[in-house]
Amino acid sequence: MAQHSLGEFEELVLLMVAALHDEAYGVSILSGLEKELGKSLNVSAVHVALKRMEDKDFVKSRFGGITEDRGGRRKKYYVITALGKRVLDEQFALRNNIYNRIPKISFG
Amino acid sequence: MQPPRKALAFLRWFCREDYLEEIEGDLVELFENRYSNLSPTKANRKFIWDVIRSFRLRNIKKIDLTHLVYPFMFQHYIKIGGRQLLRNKAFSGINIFGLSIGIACCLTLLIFVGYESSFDNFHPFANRSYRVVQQTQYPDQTLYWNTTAYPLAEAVREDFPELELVTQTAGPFQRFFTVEKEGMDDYQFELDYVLFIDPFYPKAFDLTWLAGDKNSAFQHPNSIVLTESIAEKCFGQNVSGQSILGKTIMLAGKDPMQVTGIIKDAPGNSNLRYEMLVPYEFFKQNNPYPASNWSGNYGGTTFVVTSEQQNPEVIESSIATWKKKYLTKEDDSRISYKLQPLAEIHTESLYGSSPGSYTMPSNMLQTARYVGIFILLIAIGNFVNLVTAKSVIRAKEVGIRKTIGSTRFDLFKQFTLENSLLVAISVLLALVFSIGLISQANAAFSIINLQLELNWADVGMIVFLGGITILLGTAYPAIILSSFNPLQIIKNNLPFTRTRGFSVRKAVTIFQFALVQLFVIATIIAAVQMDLFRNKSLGFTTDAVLMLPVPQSDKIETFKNQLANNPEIKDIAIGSGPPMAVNGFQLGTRFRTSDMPEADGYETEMKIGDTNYLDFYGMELISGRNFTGNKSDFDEFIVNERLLKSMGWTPENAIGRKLTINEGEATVIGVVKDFHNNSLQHDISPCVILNWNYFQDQAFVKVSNINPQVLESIEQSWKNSFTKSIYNYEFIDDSIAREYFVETLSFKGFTLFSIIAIVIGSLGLIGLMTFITTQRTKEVGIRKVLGATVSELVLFFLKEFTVLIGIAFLLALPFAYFLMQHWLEDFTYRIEMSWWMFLGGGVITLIIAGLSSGIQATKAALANPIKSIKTE
Repeated sequence: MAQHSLGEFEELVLLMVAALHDEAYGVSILSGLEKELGKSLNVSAVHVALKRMEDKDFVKSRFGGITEDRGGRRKKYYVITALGKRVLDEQFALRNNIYNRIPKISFG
Repeated sequence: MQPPRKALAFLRWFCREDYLEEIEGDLVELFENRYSNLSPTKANRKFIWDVIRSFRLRNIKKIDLTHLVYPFMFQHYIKIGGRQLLRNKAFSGINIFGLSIGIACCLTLLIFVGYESSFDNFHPFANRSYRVVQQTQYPDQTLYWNTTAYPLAEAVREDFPELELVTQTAGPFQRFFTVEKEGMDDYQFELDYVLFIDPFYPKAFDLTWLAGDKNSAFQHPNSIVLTESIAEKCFGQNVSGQSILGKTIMLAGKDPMQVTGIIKDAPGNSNLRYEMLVPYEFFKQNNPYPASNWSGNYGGTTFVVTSEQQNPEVIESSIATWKKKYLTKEDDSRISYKLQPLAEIHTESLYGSSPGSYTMPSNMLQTARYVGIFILLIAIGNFVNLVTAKSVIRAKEVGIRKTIGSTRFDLFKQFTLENSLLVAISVLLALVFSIGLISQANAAFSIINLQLELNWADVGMIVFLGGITILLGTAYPAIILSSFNPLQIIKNNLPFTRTRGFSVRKAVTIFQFALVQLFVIATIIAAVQMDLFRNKSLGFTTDAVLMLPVPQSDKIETFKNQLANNPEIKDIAIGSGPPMAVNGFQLGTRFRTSDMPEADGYETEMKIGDTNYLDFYGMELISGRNFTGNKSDFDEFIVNERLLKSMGWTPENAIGRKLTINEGEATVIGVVKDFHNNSLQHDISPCVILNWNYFQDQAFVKVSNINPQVLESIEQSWKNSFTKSIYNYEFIDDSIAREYFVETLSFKGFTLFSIIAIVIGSLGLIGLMTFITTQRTKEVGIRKVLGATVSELVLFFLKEFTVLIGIAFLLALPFAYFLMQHWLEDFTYRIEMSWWMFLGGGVITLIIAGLSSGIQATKAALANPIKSIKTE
């Protein structure tokens, strides 16, 4: 796992990328997360997480077409890679495993 | 609906290009959403905040440093720079030559100043060693002595145990030695600097022992310590120091001395000269009178080393109250002792220099330092002007380079590199020049044992000077060059078209020429002052007079008779010394009338002459008569006018009066017109001349013309008359010239450096003229076509320089006046500065500058107008 480290915020962003599937770009990821978390985030935090995960090959990106919105700037769409998916799965499995070991009696 | 423009520009400025589209797009989209959903102000504020939050290291453009060291472009710049050098050979030559001369001069002067300031700073207690100097207060004057009475040192050591060290020396004196060699003639030699030292001396001062050691060498009075070069002279080159130890050298033909040590020669940067060391104990045994006399000053020096915490002033004042224990009441009131720091011995001329050494006034060192820096500034100014001038020719290159993508920084790098190439070559050349200069200076001033040398620190300094030159000399042209607007240049609108009004170039030129003229004016004034020294009537003649020692006074007649046979010898006189005191030798005494108390006497000089002395030197009697006949004891005085003045006598009523001097009483028989018995830095002092066979130890020989045969025959006669002595002679005018050593040095310095300043300045002008004429080629062509003559055009160009040099002259004037006023103040006999010396300096500079730049202007004016107009 060590070589595929994934921070907490990164994990959230990666989940959102996977969830939005093909429609994930900066603003959509940001608004999705804000809605789920119920608090406001800064877009540059999302950008940094995306760039980091792109460096780690968890996501890959492509440019969209030019529109009249956004001052004529293209959107950059992100999709999760197979590696990214596996890391997510492992993360999920790990947590699930440990979670399942919590004895029920503890919280009667 | 536009996001805040400044924030967006900032984002675009810092954000790396591959991220920009995404980040900008997202931020703008967010802005648009907020603009319609929230409010325009909030949207604006949040956009700015987003931009600020995006200003992260990850998003910032990476500064590309690779091109800084990119070898391809580097090679390219070097190649182009080299080509430029070769293409403009004259230009590069002028530039490199001027700069390297400037750096070399500056470096040599700084080395000289460093050397002169380093005197005696290498001794173990240099910062708390003091020389005891003496001031003797008389009603009419104060005398300053760097020597003290011999018993002083021992008494101070006894009574001030808190002092770390007290040591004393006698001399250096001249002594005569014999080394006996088996089966060969004895080797005889004379040394000028035989120093007698006590056992404390080697503790206080640094001696490097090659054989023997400081603890044992001075135990027995009859020991002797040789310097390396003297040991080689006596015993040959390849004899080891150890084998010399224990050998015997005869001192003055009678005292056998045993060699107990060999030391390294005294370094040049020391005031303490010695060629041989002998225990002070030996001097004391052989000279009991001076060694126990508290009131006389016979060449003894006392040094003290204070302990860490002691304040020299406290010691001075306790000595002041203590000295009455030993001094007579009269001496106690007259004599005061001062402690002079070791470091000031060399730069304080008040107390004079000890034998074989010299003092270098600290203001002179300061001047030398400034001269060096000024020369360097002139040279750098020159470099800037020439490089700027040359750059115009390359304006087109700059335009094209910019068009095909050179950034301003690239161009700056290119020109800095090219100029660094020039500077590097100049620095190397300067190194060669300064090595030459240093060896020249050492040879020229061997008389004062100058031992300048180049060491690594100096090489470091020269590189540093080169670095400064690059900074100062290159930054300006490189910035100017790289700022050219490519479009304008390609359209043939050359930059620097502003030739009227103020510009940095003109300021540099004015500054340069203000310094140049300062040098020239100083040289003229120094030359006139030196002329006064050389040609002022001294009141006696000095031409072709040799001075020879008379070791045996009973053989004088033999010597005279021998010389009488030689027709080329015109005259002979005997005395204690020439009319003007030379080599620091003067006999002092005090005079009074017999009814005056001894304490009221006046200080005077005592000169011994024979019956021929006055005639020989052409000294004029204004009343009374000359000496007649030789007497073994003196009973007659001839006095000078100055002496009469202090007594209030007239030349007529002085004759027949009795005067008492320390040596006895006699009658005044004649008054001689004042002559310069002191060198011209000092006033004439009272003088009595005696015909006394005591102290008649110099012979003066006047020859009709100086040639080797005469010198040889004099030497032969001398050797026939005085056996067992060493022959030497000197010309009196040489000895007198030596009295002005420091003045001659500064005069030569002024001359040399003003020549250099003019040369460098003129080189700069040539460069500048080239620049201006190139710029105005077309203008010249049109003027010519319209009927201007060549001379009109030349004048047209020179006019501007005349104005610049005129302004520089006005700037230089007050500085020159005050500096030279200050310089002249040291001389009793000095010239009056007059307007022509200043104007002369200006005119000389103008003429030389006009000639050098005129050539260039003429070349431009002679050019074919058709060609220049056709140029596009």
